[in-house]
Amino acid sequence: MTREIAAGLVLALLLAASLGNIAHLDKLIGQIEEDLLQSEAYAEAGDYDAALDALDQALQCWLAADGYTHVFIRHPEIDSSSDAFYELRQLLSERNAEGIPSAFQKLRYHLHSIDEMEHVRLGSVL
Amino acid sequence: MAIVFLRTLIVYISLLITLRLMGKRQLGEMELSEFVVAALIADLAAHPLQDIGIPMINGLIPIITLFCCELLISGLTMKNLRLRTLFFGEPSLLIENGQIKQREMQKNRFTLDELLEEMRAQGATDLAKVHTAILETDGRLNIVLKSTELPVTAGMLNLAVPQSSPPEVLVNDGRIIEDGLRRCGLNLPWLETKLKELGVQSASELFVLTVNSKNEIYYAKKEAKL
Repeated sequence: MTREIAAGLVLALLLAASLGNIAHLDKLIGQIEEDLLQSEAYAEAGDYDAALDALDQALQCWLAADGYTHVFIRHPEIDSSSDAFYELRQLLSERNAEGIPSAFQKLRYHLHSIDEMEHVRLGSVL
Repeated sequence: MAIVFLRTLIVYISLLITLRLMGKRQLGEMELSEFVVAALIADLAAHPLQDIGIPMINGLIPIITLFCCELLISGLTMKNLRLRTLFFGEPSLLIENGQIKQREMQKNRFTLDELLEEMRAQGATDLAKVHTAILETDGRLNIVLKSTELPVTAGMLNLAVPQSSPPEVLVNDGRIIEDGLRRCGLNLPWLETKLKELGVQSASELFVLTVNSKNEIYYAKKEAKL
C-alpha cells in the first residue's frame, strides 16, 4: 500500500506544483504588464525616455526570470516575447510614434499567450 | 505544466477505456494499463529529445504522471477484485465443455481462424479434443484438452517419481558460476575433480557445463577458433 500512497502523493504534488506554476506565471506576467502599461502611458504622452526606462524595467523583470521560463515555457514562445521586447525598445529609441502602439500590442499579445497557455480552461486542456 | 498534467490524465484514461472496449486480443501479453503506459511513454519521451524547443519538464511530467497512474491502478486492482474486473475485464471462455462459444468469440473479435491458429501454436490441432479455451485478460489463449486426450502422467499411474530440479549451469562460456555451485551444495574442488575426470584441463576450455539434481554432468567444449 506504501507504493500506492506514494504514487497518489506524487500525483497530488504534481497537481499542486502545476497550480503553483500558474500562480507564479500570473504574478510574473502581471508585474511585467504593470511596467508595460506605465511605459505605454509615457509613450502616449510623448515622454519617450521615461517610456524606455519603464520598458527596461519590464525587460529586466523578463530576463531575470530566464531560469524559470526556460524550464517551464516552450522556447519558441520565449524567443517571440524577447524579440517583441527588443523590437519595441528599438522603436522607442527611434521615437517612432507610428510603430510604437502596434509594438506594444504585439508584446502584450505574446505575454498573454504565454499566460493563457498555462491556464486550465476547457479549451486549453482539450 | 497543469495542461500537460491534465492532458496526460485524460489521454491515459481515454486509452484505457478505448483499449478495454476493443477487447483483449489487442494487448499481446501485457495487462491493459501496462500496454497503455508502454504505448504512451515511448512516444512522450522522444518529443523533448527531438525538439530542443520543448522544455524537458514537458516530457518528464507525463512520464511521472503515467508511472504514478500505473502504480496506483495496478496496486488498487491487486487489492480490489471489482476494480480489477473493471480495468482488465475477466478471462473469456471461448470453448467451454467442448462447445465453441460463438458469442464470446464475437465479443472478443476472435475469428475461428485465429482460434485454430492459437490452438496449433499450443500443439492442439483438433477442436474436438479441446475441453476449454480461455482468452486471458492479457490476450493470451490457454487451452485445456479433454481428459481423454491428456498425456498420461506418473500421478495418473500412481507412480512415485522423485522430484527433479532443472539443471544448474556451472560453467558458462569458460567462466565458473560460483552461485550455481553454491545453489547445488557443491564447491570448486568438486568441480576441479570432475573436470579432471572429463579430461578437461580448466573450465576456460568449456563452453557450457551443467549439473542436474542427480549430479549428472552435461558439458560441451569450446569450438576451436577459426
